Amino acid sequence: MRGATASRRHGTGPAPRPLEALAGRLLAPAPADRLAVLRALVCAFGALYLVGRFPHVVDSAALPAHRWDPVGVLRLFDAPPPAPLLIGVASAGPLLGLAAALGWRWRATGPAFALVALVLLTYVNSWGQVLHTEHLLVLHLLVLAAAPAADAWAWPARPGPRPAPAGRYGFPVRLVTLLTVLTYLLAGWAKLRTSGWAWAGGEVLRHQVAHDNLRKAVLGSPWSPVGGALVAYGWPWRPLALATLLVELGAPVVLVWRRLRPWWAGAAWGFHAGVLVVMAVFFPYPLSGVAFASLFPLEHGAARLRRVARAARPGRPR
Amino acid sequence: MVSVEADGTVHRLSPQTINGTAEIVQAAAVVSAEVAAGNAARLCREVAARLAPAPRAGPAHGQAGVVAGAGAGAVRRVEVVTETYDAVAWFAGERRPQRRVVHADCPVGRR
Repeated sequence: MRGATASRRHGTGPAPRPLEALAGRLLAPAPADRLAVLRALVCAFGALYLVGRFPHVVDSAALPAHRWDPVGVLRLFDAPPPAPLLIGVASAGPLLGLAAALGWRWRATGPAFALVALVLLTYVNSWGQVLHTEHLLVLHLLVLAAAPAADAWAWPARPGPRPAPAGRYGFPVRLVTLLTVLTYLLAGWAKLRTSGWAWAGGEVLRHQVAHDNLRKAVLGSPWSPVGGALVAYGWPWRPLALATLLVELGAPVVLVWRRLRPWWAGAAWGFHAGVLVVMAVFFPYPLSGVAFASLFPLEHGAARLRRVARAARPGRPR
Repeated sequence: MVSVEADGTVHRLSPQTINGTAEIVQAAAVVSAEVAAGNAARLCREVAARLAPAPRAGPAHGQAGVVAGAGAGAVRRVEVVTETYDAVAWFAGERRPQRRVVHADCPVGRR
């Protein structure tokens, strides 16, 4: 395999077909640790997120049935599920998430947690407004649920040697990255679809920020004084709009140039921090950094932790 | 949506009062959808029922906490309104709506 790659690099072999090249990239071996650390991070975040969403689930369960506007996997349900059932599932969700984060009985807890997150977050989005910010977390959980994500860094630890790097550990991580990239690309595309390239001029963004903050102000919710002050000026909005489009439409660069990954992740994080500052809109998944974890060689951090744990073991010479 | 007290004081209602959850975007979407579907009166009655004091709860100020920014005055009416603003000008101090349409108006009674 290495020989074939080398001969292609030197121009002696046939050039790979685009699909072959893509498959080769997606299925390239990766360490089990990388996927396992990603599982721990995403599931731990998911468990905490479901704890934070619990009050909203309870509030939603008391809404009148005529407001029920099911989306996604709940579209088949003409009426909302019974409140006790829903609150029971919402209570079990964070515990399942904790078990999945630890890798405990992963083959059961991984898919069960992903399914619970899918159903609960679909449920809270089935009352007249879809919050797109929650999609990425669920998509990541679903990919991880179908992967051998607890072959390393699981509790209790598996007996025997650590598994060798393999394509089955690399593919899910790359699929998670691909989904992250697609969500940003779609967000950028949606802006251009609704407003064309005029969006890059900044006026649309300026009015969007003003409208969003005003809506919060008149509905008695916290709004951003920074955004409120900034909308008085025209000049900041063109660079902010261009930066937004650059982050969103530029997301696919991380699929091609590995060295740009930290830069893009930093820019995307900065974009969400900016949205928080000027719109008082909080995107917890990207702002936690977990949404971008698949872009990094997580096994290095895992190896460091392992060394620290070994050094701290009692009776070991220092 | 707003509540109107006996002395005419108007208070904007919180997402929790309007829709029963703290999600502001959802509350705004519900009001828009109900107005567009011609159900403003139904929404008005629902919110008025949420604001109505319980039979043995004493004076109306027992419910005042759920009305964002409301004082201790008795809420008499609920209105479903569309107010049109120049959003950029609003932050420059122009707080009067350019247009105000009342879609529904209903009394707040006792439960």
